[in-house]
Amino acid sequence: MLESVIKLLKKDWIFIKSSLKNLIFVALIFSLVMPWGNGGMLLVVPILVGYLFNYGLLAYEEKYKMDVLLCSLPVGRKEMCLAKYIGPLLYTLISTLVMMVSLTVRMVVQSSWNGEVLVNLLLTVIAIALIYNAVILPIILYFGAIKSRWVMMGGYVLAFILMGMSSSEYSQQLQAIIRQGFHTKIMSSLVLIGVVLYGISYGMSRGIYNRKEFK
Amino acid sequence: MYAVTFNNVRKRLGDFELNIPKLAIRQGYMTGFIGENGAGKTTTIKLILDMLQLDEGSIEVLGKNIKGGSVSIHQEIGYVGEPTGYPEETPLEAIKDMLALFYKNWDEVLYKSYMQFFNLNSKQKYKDLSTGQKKQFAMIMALSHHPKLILLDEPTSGLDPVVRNEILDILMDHMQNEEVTIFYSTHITSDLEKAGDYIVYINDGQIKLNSEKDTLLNEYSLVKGPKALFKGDICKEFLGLRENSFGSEALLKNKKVAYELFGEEVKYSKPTIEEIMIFLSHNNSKVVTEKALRGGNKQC
Repeated sequence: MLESVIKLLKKDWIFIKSSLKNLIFVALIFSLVMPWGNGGMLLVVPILVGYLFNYGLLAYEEKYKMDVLLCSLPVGRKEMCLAKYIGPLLYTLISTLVMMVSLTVRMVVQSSWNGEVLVNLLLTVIAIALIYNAVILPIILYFGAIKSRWVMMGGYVLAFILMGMSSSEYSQQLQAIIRQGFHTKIMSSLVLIGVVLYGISYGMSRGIYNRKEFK
Repeated sequence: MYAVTFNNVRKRLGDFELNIPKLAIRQGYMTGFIGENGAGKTTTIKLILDMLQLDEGSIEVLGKNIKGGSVSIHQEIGYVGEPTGYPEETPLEAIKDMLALFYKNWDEVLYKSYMQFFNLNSKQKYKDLSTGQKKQFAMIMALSHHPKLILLDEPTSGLDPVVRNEILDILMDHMQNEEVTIFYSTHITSDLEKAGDYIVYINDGQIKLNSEKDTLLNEYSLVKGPKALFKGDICKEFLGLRENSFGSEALLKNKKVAYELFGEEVKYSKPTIEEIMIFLSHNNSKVVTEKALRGGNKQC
């Protein structure tokens, strides 16, 4: 099984490298540049990279009807599903490392080095990546890339509306709570929650893949 | 020995139902799978590849049930679908690298020789190929890992006769060099007259005919003559009947029976696979007339 998953990951990498270089470019730029903005911008990166390498890749596959070709290959549906979970997470982790390097450089340049903050940010970013991918992957796999775009857009619009509706006083209270909770133990727990959610999400997607019909 | 066997297969897709109680594709031969658009050809092939879920029944490929054995089965299958599913923006070399990974028997030398034969440049992007070249490349990818079963879903559709001929030649050449079964779905029946060994005809989700090609072409008979001769009890012998302003035309399963019924009063000819398909598509003893084409069929 592991061998098949590795082959699927290699296949996706060859596809990205040969045809979707822009995804790599955008992910790299954001990972390098965002750490030089405020803390909030940093936390957008795992969402953006997750969106690019999950939704972007699946959208291309759907556009070219590559799932029909994929189905004719000697790989099982379990392995196909697992590759969809491992691949984008790997790219997100790589972009996270790039981001941390960029953030470290910034901290050194600005003489504001704080190892604990760096570790907590790393854990937060990983947690966000896990939770975000855990949520969007079953949606994309179930609805397909084109329909799920509307579902995801609806979610983003709702999030922006909620953020816009919150008063500045509420927003400041929220920021204070987040600062208080920004401890390694809490962030580690968040990562653990992310891992559990990722596992549950994979289980759901396995079910979707097993019943999926490639018309 | 059979490469593919269907047992009590049923599959419903919306209003369409595929119902194949029994079908066996002989190993080592080319079986043509014909039918008009929407007859169920692609659905049948996708069921073999486990791309669709069976509602009932089972399918065995090379002795293994597709449920549970699909990974090892797919090692032995070469597939050309419609659409092919190749990414348009990707160079041919990269597509090959993506897919060759999965096949234990991938033959790089064979791949290169086919690419040279068809004069394809591996640095080119898939979208820059002509329609014919795209099909040629898909065929190369299907053949280059020495499959035991080749499933072709309308591989020559939309191609000019020269390119179609090249593709058929490569298939026949491959059959001569390797023990391979070809299941070839098409509505271009002239391709099968050249290369096919067996013909399976599907109509409205059901298998209407399953026969050796030579038997079909040598024993079936087309009979043409005045309308008055094509009435009464003899209609039950017809597989199909057509009328026009000049007379009637009927398809019979047996030349001897046709001669016994009509003697010297009519003209006899060998039907093509296309003509057999046209007659069968209008069910037993149903008449196709010029009036019928404008609306309504008349029973014989």
